[in-house]
Amino acid sequence: MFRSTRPISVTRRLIEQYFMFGLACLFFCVAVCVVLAWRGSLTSLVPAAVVLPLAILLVGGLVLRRSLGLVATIEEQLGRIAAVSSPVEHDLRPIAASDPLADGWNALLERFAGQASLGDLEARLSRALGGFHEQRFEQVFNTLSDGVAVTDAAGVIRFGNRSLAAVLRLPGGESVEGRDLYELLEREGSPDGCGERLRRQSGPAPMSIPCGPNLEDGVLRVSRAPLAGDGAEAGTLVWTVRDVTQQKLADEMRSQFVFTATHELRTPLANIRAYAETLSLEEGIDVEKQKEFCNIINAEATRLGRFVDELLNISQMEAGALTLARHETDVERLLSEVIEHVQPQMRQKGMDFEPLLPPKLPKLQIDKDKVAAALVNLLGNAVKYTPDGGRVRLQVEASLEHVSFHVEDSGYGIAPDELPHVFDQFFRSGDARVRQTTGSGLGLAFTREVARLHGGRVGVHSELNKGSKFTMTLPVR
Amino acid sequence: MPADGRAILIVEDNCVMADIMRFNFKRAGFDVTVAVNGRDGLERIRDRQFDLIIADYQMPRMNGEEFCRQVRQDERHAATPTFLCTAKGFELDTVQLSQELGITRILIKPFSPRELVEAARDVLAGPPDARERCSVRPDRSPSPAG
Repeated sequence: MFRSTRPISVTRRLIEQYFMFGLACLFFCVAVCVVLAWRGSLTSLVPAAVVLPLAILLVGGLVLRRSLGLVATIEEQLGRIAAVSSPVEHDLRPIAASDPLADGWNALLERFAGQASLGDLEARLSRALGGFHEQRFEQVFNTLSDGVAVTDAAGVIRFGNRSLAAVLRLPGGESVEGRDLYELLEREGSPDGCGERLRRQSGPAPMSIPCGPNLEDGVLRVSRAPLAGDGAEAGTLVWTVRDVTQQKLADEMRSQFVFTATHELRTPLANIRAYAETLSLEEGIDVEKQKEFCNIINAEATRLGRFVDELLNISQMEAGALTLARHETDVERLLSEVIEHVQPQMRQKGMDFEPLLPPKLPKLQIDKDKVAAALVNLLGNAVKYTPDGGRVRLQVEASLEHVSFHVEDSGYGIAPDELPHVFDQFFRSGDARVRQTTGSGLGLAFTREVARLHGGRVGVHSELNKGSKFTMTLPVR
Repeated sequence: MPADGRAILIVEDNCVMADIMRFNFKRAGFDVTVAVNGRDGLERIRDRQFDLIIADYQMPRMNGEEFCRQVRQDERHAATPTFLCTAKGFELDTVQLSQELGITRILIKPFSPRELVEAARDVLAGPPDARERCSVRPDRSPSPAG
């Protein structure tokens, strides 16, 4: 706005005004001299009256011009600053003169240069921080177990975190960036064109995509949201792809558990009813037989009670409220009870059972019933998942600090990918041989919880079709 | 009504339940054979003709459903009255099972042994048509008729 009219420098204005004032004075002097000369006096002084003030005026002009040079330099530099929006350092020069004005100008320049370098530092920091944030976000995304993808409007992946390729089960090292996510979801073995359906739909569209005909083949949960904010192109979507196979299997196991529990409750109940009714309705049953029936009713009621206890343990475990009632326990007696419990099943399957116990076992401060139930689970599983005529070994090792119970079998074994999940609640192997037998998927979870509450631990080594070895270690207190 | 030594095959892996069923049927005059699972049951029917087969549903090696399917493939037992016992009454599609496998009656555990014996008598005393395809009654009441 100020630059719309031609600027006149302050220095020039001062000099012009000086000359105009000087010329006015000169004109006045000349006029006085002419009047005096006309009256007859000062005739000889007229040339001097003109030349001398003119000379003084010129000298004064030169002095003024010289003394205003400093102001002119400052003005010129200020003009240059005003001409550009962001002055650079070399536009401004310090003035080499010893003058308060020059000193002030130079001090101002120094401060300005300081600010300019700060601005530069800020810009560099901002660039570095931008890159740093980008890297940090990428690192954060790469640590997520869910697959995260950013796709453009056509569904092409612009960014995919490390888990994405794994969740989509792409061969090792295959990059996802630049590929069509809808096609990748289609490739997952979804039976009904899930990828194409997602392409046609709009909105978050959370969808479960089965990876094959069986639950064990995998299930993916896919959801998406538009990416908003500066620099986001229209149609950009952020996706999360989660492998929910284990969750789905656990849900199925939970339902299976209800069926199993129902069966386990009804079986002893059916026996009790059949025997009790026979005793009450049939006449002429001899005393020995009556006694035998009563014993059976008693045994079945005990079995029912034990199962109810197990259910309570499981429900306490589920609620995180499993507690211990520790008493000094003779480990040898505990083991003999455990063995007594599982031996009938072993005999029925014609199994070779080998208990290897050290000559002396310490007394432990433990919850006897819960540890016994945990060991029965380990031995029961060994019997259940080993073919007829197989081998089961119970080995106990005692040191000053720990007692370890090793249960080893020559059974079906566990596949490496299932091994990390065997102690999870409701987990049951996908192995068809295991699926044939009933099970709650809670026994090993219970065993691990019992070990943990005692300050101990459980572990497993297994080889498919060769057998498994479970170890429960409890501290000696 | 005397059973005149009619031959019954009980296929039940739970020996406690098998024993009490055998006890009651024997007292009622039946000739009772017990098999411990489906495969064992198939061995038994290969050797002899039975008038009634009572099978448990949940058994190791071969369950009751598969056993009944294979029984129907045996010409001699294609029309033998068959009872299926199960503790899984609510989870099984009993109507479909009955129609598909020609099950005479599905019994939900726990059941009354006396009523089971009565049901066996009724089925064996009925006309041939009824023996082949008796009414299906997936009974869930505490005192089912058989």
